[in-house]
Amino acid sequence: MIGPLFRIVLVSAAAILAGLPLVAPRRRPAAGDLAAAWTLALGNAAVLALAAGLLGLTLSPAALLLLLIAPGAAAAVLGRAPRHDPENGDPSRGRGDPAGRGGDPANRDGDPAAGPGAPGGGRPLVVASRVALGCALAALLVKMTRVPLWSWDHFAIWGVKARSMLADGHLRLDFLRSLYQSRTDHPLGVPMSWLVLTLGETPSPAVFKVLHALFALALVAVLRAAVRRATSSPALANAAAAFLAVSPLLWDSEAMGLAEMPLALWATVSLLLLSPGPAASPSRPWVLGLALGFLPWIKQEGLVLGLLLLAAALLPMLPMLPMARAQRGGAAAAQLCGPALALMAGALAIQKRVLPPEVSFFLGDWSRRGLDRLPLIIEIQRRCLALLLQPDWLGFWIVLAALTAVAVARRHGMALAVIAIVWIQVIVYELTAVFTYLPPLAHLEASFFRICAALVPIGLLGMAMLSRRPQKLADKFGSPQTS
Amino acid sequence: MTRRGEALEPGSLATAAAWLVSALVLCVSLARTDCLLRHPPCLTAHGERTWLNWAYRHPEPQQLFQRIGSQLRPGEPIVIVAVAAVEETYWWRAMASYFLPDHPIAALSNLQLPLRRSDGGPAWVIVTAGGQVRVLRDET
Repeated sequence: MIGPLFRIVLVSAAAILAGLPLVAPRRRPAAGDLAAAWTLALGNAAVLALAAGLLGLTLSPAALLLLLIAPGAAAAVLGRAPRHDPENGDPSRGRGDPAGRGGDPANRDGDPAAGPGAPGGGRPLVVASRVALGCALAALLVKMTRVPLWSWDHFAIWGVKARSMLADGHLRLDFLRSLYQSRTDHPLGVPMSWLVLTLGETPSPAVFKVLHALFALALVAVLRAAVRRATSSPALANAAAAFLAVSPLLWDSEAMGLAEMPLALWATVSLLLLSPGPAASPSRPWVLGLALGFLPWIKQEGLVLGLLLLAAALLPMLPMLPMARAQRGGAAAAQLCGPALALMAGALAIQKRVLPPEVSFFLGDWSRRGLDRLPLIIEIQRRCLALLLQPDWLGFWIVLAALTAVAVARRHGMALAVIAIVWIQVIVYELTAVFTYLPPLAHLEASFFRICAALVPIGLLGMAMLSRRPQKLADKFGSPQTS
Repeated sequence: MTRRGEALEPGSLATAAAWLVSALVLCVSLARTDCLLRHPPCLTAHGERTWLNWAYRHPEPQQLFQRIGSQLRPGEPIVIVAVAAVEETYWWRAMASYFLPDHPIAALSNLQLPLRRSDGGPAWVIVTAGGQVRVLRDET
């Protein structure tokens, strides 16, 4: 176990170094930046490794390490442009966190709760929220050590691919045809990112648990950074991250070794990158495009989620909307959409042309089937509602529904856009059950709860954004700029 | 007198929310940790309640398949003979693909004594109800 752990630590360090030029160039990174850098570098490496493997190139440990480092190295070399001051004229800050001490006069004393955008409560609240986060993470780590890797989809779909798709450094996908009752057409991005982390060594169940813990910690760090960036409130950021740690996405061991957590991680990294970050180094739209474009490489529903997030990212570039600010909209939109759409198309092309054909969820006359099932809609809705009202959610969906109404009443554009992504995705999941060939209620019973869990971090961010006045938020969020 | 808009200031709501969520998470974490440290740990999350016993029907699948793998020759095709193996084909095939990716599964057969194995063909992996493993093959 020591050998694989050493590899994972080594590769993670390289991934952070490779990703930092993408997410936090020329500044001291915060924890969320490190996690986002790790995530982005892994995603890029997984795409490059799959492409190289399909071209017949050998994926030796050295080659995987090279593919991990290459995009960041290129960004570091190409990104040596002079610093840009932000368009709103904010002074530069020294730290990776926009809620940091430098830029906000009220925060210069280091009291993170003292800024005008931060909620009251002061130091005791920050300490209490940190204690809550610490306890939640400690409980989570205890659980991961006590629970076996048991999820059926891990054995039958995700884990088996990671254990079999690389043999002696060569990508081999012929084994997919011999798998029994698996989903052979599911994307390969997550298994490949696991293999990048182990440098091609077949992961054991214990290693899968370590990888799951790493993804969980990265997700918590990224959500915390995203909430803090959007709200300037460290207490709210800690509280949101702590809630995520006790939510079903992280707490339910069913998610161990599956793709829901990676899907949530890349979506949350995209939302973090949507914020321009510290004034000295605004996020670059093409970096956000890379994060969004990887979503369909994780899961098929990642395509819908990626397109929704892309639409949310483009909103501030539309001049007719009140949240839009003076921006180089066209260039930024092109830089954002180019890599995002190219990667999405790549994921679809691999699914259609490379992976063995699987029984499509939309097998047969799906539109007729949908019409036939219209009388079932109320029953489907009732079942979905019952699943979303389970006590496991700790009231998440009830509060989200209430705050959606608040966001509408306040015309809180960006918060509403983020929350809308969650609800649209939930509706897509419900409709999928209506139109697919599987019995709808059994289909929902099997997966609806689990796939909805991946939407929790997005919902938490949307809810937290309501703590800021809409205009302040529009200043901070949703305006990727060219650099 | 406070105006209505000021009473609903987002900052004060966020403060209340942060206190509430922190307290909730703290209580939930402590209760769950207490539950986890018991023997055996209570696994009561939604997925665990619904699917754990269904998906993880053998208590130690990794050890079971390690015992099987240690008795096989590299790349050797196998027939799995176990209690209710035919009825649980999907479980045995998925687990064998996962833990023994280099060993094609030729067939599955229910464990019924006496065993009658014809000469030639793949090795038989016999798994008893207690998890003991025996491999039968032609001696070469």
